[in-house]
Amino acid sequence: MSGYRLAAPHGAWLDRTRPLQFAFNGQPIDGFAGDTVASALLAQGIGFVGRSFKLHRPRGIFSCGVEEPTGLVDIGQGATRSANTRATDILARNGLLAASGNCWPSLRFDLAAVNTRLARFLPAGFYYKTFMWPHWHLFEPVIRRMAGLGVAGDGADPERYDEVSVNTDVLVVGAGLAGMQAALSAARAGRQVMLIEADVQPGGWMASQTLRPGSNASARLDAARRDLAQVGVVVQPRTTAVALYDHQLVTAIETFEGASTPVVISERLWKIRAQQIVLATGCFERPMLFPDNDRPGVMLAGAVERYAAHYGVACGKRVLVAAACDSAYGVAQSLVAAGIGVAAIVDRRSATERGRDVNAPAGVQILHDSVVVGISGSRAVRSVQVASIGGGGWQSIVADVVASAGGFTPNVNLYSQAGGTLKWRAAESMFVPERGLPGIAVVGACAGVFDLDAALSHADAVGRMGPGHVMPEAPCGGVGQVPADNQPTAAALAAHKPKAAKQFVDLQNDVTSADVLLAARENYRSVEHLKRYTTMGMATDQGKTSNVNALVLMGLATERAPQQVGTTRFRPPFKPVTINTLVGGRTGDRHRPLKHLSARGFHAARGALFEEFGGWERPAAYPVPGEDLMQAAERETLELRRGVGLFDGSPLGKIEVYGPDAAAFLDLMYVGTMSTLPVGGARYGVLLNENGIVFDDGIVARLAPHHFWVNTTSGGADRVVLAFEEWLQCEYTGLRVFIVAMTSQWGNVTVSGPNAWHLLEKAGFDALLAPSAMKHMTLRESAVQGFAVRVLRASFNGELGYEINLPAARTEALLQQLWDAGQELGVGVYGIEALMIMRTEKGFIHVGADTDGTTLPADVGLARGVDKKAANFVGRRSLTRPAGRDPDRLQLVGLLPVDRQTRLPVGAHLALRKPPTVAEGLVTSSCFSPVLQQPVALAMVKRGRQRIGERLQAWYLGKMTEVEVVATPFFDPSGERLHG
Amino acid sequence: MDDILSATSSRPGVRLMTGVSALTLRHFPGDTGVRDAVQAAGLVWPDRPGQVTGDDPWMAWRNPQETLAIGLRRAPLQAVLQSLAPGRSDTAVALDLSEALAIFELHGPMLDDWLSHLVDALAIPRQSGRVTRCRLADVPVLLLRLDPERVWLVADRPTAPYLGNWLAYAHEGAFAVTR
Repeated sequence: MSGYRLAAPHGAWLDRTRPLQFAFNGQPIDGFAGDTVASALLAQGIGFVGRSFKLHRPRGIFSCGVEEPTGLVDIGQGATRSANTRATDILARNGLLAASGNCWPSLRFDLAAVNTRLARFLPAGFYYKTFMWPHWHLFEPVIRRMAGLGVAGDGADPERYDEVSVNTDVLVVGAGLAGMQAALSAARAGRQVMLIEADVQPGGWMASQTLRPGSNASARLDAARRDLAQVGVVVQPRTTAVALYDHQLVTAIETFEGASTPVVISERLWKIRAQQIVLATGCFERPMLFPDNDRPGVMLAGAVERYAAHYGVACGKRVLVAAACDSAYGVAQSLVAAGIGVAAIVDRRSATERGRDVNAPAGVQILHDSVVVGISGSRAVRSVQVASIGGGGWQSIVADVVASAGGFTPNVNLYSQAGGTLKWRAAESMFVPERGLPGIAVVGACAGVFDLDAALSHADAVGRMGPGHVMPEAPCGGVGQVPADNQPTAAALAAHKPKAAKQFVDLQNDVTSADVLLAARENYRSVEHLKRYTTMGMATDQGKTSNVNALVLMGLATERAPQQVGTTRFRPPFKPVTINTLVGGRTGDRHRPLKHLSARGFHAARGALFEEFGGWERPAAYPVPGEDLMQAAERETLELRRGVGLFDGSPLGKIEVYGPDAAAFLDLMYVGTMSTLPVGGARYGVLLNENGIVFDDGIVARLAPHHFWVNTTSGGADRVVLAFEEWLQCEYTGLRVFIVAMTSQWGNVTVSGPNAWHLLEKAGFDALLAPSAMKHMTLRESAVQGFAVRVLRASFNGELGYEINLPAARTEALLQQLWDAGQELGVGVYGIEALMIMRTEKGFIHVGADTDGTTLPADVGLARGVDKKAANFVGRRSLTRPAGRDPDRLQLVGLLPVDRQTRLPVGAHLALRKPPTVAEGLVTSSCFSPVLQQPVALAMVKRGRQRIGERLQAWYLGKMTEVEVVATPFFDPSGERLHG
Repeated sequence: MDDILSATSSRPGVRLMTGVSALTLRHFPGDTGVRDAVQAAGLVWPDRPGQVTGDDPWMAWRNPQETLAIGLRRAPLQAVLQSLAPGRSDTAVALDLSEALAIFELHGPMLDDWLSHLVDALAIPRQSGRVTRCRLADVPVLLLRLDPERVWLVADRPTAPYLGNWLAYAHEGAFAVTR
């Protein structure tokens, strides 16, 4: 291949005043602003750019757009490397680094190219048949390493990504002439129109036909652009629609590489909603099938023309056009006009099948009823062997490029994503949209309309009509006669070589026509089976250039028409999208919502180690120098059990339930009975879902006859509010109850420990809060320094405890006040880890840790509430199901290691003997108890409460610890400390 | 008020509001007490879904049973809070949410361009006197269009640092130089 740069004015999209340079495999490549990586490579005579996926055959640049199956390169390096990227779809820029991906140690000397000699062992579905002895897993790692097309970036991408949402009356996808016409007509009808185009400039197919003698394409396009600007159509270039979802939502990717201004945003994700979507996405050229049709230098004919027109690139010095349709002749005209040699047009059709007005350029030989039967050259085309379809002799024609024109495939990907079905048109051998979809119209080549006047007329009619109208039927056609089967005949092949070379159908996944025939022979006739068995169309190009040829071949092999073979559904994205574009700004602190405590400063000043718990960033512990997290937690535990500690419980879920039916409603929600609570009383409650599964717990306190204060777990506040609302709105619609989420309104300072009241007393709290005056599980409304507080006597650590709820903004001040007042008492602060130690010592469950999606209240020792309650509550019926009464259910118990030293890992499986065996349960919570000076754990064990005293084995990652099943609590079993 | 981003003649800015009071007003269908209490405080009740009425404080329709009263002038809100305190009515109640909510004031030109980088385009209240509920980076928020160049973004206060980060990030995306 000996490409070169054409002199100006060829290359309409280039800015020759702005030269640039980038590197390909370390070699400097010169180009101009506007070049793609592919066009610059071709202009420098580089046609061999990569190796194929499976066989590691030399591959070149095949197309001039998003459909590229073989010109794949890694862009960038390190963290910015984007692997397996189409060189035809990346604008060149100064300093860009491009490298071939699937080769080692180099592109020219690739050790894995030995696969070409092993090809007979690697047919379609080889991994189902070969490499099975002694075991597939022996070979799999090697095969996986040899496959693949690049290496992913290896760090955090420093580039900036963005997303934007827009709403418009009409979205036109594709700015070819038909798309522009539809946009223009819609705008003239008074609608707001957005027109997106994947290329850097509008124009579509027409823009590449400017070289053809007598062409008025440039003038037409200029006029169309002017008209669009006049009527206010928003034209968005470099924006590729990648998905079409329900409710007329289109997502598109806008890229910014290539311009010279400072880089701020690399790619932008557009989310576009439109009342009407007009798909004008054009078509792909369909390649011809012939032996060695994957050699660098074999290209799509339209691409060869496009490189000349847009980028001023001659892909070679002598181009042979392999044709099965009339468009090949126009390409030849363009090439000759640009001064590029055309060796011959090899037309598979007879002269009578050629369009009447279709002519070759003067002096270019046409070989009708002829096909390409061989290519000389491995890394570049040197000559082409041509034979008559009837056989006989063959001739060799010197050429360095084969421009292949096998017809057209409407780009129906988005239409298919939207649920559209396709129909086969035999004359033109293409699948076209069967019918319009609600709110979605299809125009131009995408609809199978190739006659320009007909396309414009149809697009105009579609554009003028708004959504809701029955769209005019697309006047398909205009391509001329295109045979479905464009392979060389057996006679032609036989005339050249008895054993023809491989004929590739899917160039990206190395699927050959022989593979398709093998699938047919092995009865993988369904298009879905064909796809999966051969991997045809499953590469990143989704078979844009290969699907139709494969379907035709399968049809021929099974005596069916392509329509009967059928098509598979296209899925988003239309082209590969970088993960970072989808991620957008969701990195670092924006990764997901994390709530901050209002008293964060107080905790930070005391060395808090913040971690996420239930969507909040909370102090896990307050390590002092020399301590790790657990050492700190154990110290904090001891400090509290011996004196007093402060805890920021602000994330604790807080809900106010108000209304005449509030008590009745809470009775329905909770296992316990809340309607019997006196004002000022509080009660522990368990919430079940309709299946009887424990999904949250907490304390309910009565503020007034119709007014309740509901505490939930910190992570469960939102889901409890939603559950309450759902029951009210869907089931108990007659109950007059308001549910108000108040978690963020109220802070919570929890004061715990034997000296808790002493501290509050010193801080000036009302004597009515003294343990002697205020019982455990009661609530008092009071005031501290002029602001209202709600003080609940409750405990999750087994010590005397006060939960002081106060306006959130006052939390930090109260913590500071108590800290200052408690210095003589040795007040400390404790974090979540210490709390978890203490509640484990007490055997208190932590919903989500000791429970899972199967836990019923009786499993965790909460059957008493069920038995005592006569009235109905959510989940009650489900508790009576056989599964709920299974005597083998897991039950919460305590565990102690027999050696009293080994801390049990959470998740360790309990068994009677070494696995594999039936598990008897699992460890759900575990810690070292600083007050008991030994490890303790909670576990769910089959029939656990009947097995107290029994010994089991706890297995974790192959290590066993012998354990004893014990009753809980481990600490203060009589509960004396709770009362101060 | 803490300025996070200052507005210019061509770009909007944002500040985190302080001193804003907020009430949630809940009422059952058929209740008239809430409307009376609001009117007695000199405020205008929002009759239609998505409507914002008044001018500091503002009344924002949130759902058929909830209206948010929000503003810098505390007195009218206090009056409503007192007249609808729990226990005063069986069919309506007002609860203070002043501590629970963070209010970002987005102000200046091109607010819609900025918001389109944060929320679905259909969720942007484009006319003054409109309120929408939507999710901004997975956080439920209210957007109140107070006037053409002023939008209040109301969210759960503990999410304010996270949302502030997103506002700045999206501002950069909306108004930054692209390649």
